[in-house]
Amino acid sequence: MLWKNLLFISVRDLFAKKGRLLLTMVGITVGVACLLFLLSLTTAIKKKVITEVLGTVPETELDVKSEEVTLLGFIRMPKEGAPVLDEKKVEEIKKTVPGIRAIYGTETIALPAEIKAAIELPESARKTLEMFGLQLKPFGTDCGVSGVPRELVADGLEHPEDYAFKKDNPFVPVVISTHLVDMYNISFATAMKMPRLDPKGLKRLNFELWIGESSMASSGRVIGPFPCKAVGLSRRAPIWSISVPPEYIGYWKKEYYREPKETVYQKVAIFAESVNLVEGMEKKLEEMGFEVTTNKETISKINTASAVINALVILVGLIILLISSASIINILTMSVYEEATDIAILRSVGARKAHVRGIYLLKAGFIGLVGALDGLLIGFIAIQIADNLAQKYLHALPYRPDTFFLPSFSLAGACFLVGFVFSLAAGTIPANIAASLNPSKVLREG
Amino acid sequence: MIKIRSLTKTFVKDEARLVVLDAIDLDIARGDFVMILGESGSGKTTLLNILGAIDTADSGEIIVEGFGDILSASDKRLAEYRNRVVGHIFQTFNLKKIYTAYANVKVPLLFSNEPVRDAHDRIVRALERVGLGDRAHYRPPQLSEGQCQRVAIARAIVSEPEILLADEPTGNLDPKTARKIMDLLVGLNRDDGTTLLMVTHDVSMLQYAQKTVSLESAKIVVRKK
Repeated sequence: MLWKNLLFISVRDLFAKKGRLLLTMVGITVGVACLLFLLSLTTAIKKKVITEVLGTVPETELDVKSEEVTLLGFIRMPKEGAPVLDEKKVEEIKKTVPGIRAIYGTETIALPAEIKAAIELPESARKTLEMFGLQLKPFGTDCGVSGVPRELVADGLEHPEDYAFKKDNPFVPVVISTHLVDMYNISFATAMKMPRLDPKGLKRLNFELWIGESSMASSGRVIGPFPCKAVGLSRRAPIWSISVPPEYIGYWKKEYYREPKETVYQKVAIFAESVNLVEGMEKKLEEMGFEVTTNKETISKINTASAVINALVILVGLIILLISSASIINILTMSVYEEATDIAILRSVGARKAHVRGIYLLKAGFIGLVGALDGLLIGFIAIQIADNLAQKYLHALPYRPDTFFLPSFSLAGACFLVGFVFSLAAGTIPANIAASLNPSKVLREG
Repeated sequence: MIKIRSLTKTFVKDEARLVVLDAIDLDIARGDFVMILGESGSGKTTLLNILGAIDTADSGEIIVEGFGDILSASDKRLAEYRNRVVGHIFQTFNLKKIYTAYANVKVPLLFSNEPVRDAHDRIVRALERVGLGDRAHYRPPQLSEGQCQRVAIARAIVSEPEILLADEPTGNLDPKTARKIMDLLVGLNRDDGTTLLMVTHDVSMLQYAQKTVSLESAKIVVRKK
């Protein structure tokens, strides 16, 4: 087979100058390795953000709030005249906006509140403190209290039946925000050198809730303590509040104000029957005077940001490959002129221009093939090392992914193909130069 | 075997036109050993290169028996002609240093359009014919100049061509080695009936040829038998 013969000639010529072969391949190797490394990193980050941070919020969900204004750049307050999300308004939404599958309201008590947790010490430690006349005070913090339907925090409930309003329940079931735990661990705990909160340990935490007073404010009346127990951690739970079954809010408001109070939701989560209806529903709700956000927009923004980052990463990789292609053109063209007499001899014994072109394209292809394969190998090794180092030294990173890199066969295949094609494309210039050499002129000039 | 009619070749150098071959006519019979003489720049190598289809002519025709006019043949047909009909022998051997003698001789067979079933046998036969059967695995740097030229001759005859074109094959050799090479070429011409055209500016080589052609001022001036 002629191509086998041309390959024989190409490979023998390449291996006659091993140092030059290695030098020519380095650029392709580095380019492919960089592409694989960086794209694996961005893929893992995107997956973490979309599936774990946003994955719990479906694309059919619309979050509706009363319009707010921002003061001093960070204080958000209800806009004057904006419609209020009370039970009546919610009914109106149900009647006016078509395509609603389900609607859940989140109500936050507009009162200061505080939770206190007693830290249980071993008996010996307690007795030791008592000997010195010391006592460990309960750990307390201000917080908000929100009534959040079970459906919205289901992602964090091992036993969903635990999260329910039961008059005879000795504990109020509480769900805490995972984001709050993450933020505490990476900021407060790290800065104050306090022990980090273990999410698993938090699920067994018991504490008491006081409503009406906190370390920062007092309403003049206090109700409580209400024994609480954490039954789950959810990414959907409001960050600055503890989440309880909504019935508790009504119950506590009645106990505090000594009369029933109407329900006013801070936020309503509406689930559409299908993704196609979301845009229309969003428009309708905005016309009704509400602020609406959808996961679709957020995912779209993340996808756009991810595409931009990916494009930048690919650009870096392509620039490296472009430079290495220039090097291939340079080195192979130099080879053509060095091997001009050999080329003339090949022509004199029956090689056609196409055969000569083929020899140099095969050289470039071989360089691309081996260089790209080496690049994949080095890329995978670098990924393994970097991931191990990142897991070891970045364990405190918020939203730390399980793995910092997500290479795949399709990604590796794409990187390989790009490297190979660049090399082959670079080979066309020296191949054409070789094919166009005039054998008689070369032989005459020596 | 070869009929050359009105062959003309012109080179353009520094905007000056140089006529190297001016309407050359020449007939070469099968089995002829033709010596082509002339001073440097008289067009000897150009004539050989055109006959070997590694250079083109401006006008004329060269009819090769069994092939046709090589000046009007396609690129593919010319490649076949160079592979199977002619064999080239150069003054500077032009062997690939990284290849063994065996691999150098094999090169023409790599470009054969048809699979060469007895390729190994042909290579061995060619090397033995030139007296280098025991040097097949030596590389050119390990061979003497005379041996290198013999490898080049083996490469030229491995495809069993009908025509051999030798461009000053003894130009780089000492007299003793040159004689040996000439004996080899004469043997190929006499024993195999290969038509041999040889370019030289060394008049002492004339004794080997049956026919002598001189090129002067782009014309064939003298023909001797």
